[in-house]
Amino acid sequence: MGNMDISLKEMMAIDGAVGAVVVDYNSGMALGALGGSKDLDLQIAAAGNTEVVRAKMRTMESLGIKDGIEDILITLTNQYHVIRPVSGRSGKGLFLYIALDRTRANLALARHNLRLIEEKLEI
Amino acid sequence: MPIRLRTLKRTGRRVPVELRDEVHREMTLLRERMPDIDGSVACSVDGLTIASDMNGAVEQTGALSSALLALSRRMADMAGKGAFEETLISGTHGHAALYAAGPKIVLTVLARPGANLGLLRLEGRKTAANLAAITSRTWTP
Repeated sequence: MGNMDISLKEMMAIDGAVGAVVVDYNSGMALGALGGSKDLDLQIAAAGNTEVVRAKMRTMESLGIKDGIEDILITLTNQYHVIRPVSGRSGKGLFLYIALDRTRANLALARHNLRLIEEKLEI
Repeated sequence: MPIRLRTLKRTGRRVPVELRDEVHREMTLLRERMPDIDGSVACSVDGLTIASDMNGAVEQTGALSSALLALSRRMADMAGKGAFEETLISGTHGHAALYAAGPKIVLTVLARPGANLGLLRLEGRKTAANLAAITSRTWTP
């Protein structure tokens, strides 16, 4: 059982993490954020990535795909951005968002760790 | 309310056309950047509508916005929370958000239910700041 602050700390402990947010995609607002910098405003990231998640969900609905999103990976030149909707009942409507520095991150390990953090997150 | 509106119209100073166009352009941009917006109204603190990007009760919305702004400012002041920045009203059928655009203008944005409030907040503030910049250099209400 991890509460949100612990989960955010665990996300920031992932190799290469530069910012971590727990976001409510119904409102687009961050429930909690850790890290970030003046180059990475986490409030903007929360609002913007809410649109990404909503767009993907709408697209799947239009396509008639009855499945859930496990995670969304966005690869930038210098960063990885990973979005992971929370599947537990208490976290319904939330997603985890993490930005990783590509030079320091191990993507496979980061996705694995993010899954573990998401599974035990209790809000 | 109608009496107040008439009085305002009689005493209301004209808003220059160029200013109105420039403000309107910002509001159109807001609608383009942000999904789920029904419309927006910019008005002066005394309820004079400067520009609007919506259908329906524009003047009433403007008049109410100025009243809400006054109330919100007093509340922020009384509670010791500093300068007014934003008021959000949420109903079962959507939201109405007010942003201070400098000391003399208020921007009211109406959004549909399920709107991305995080984005509304960021975009609303950005637009309000742009309106403040435009009006401060071209107009004194």
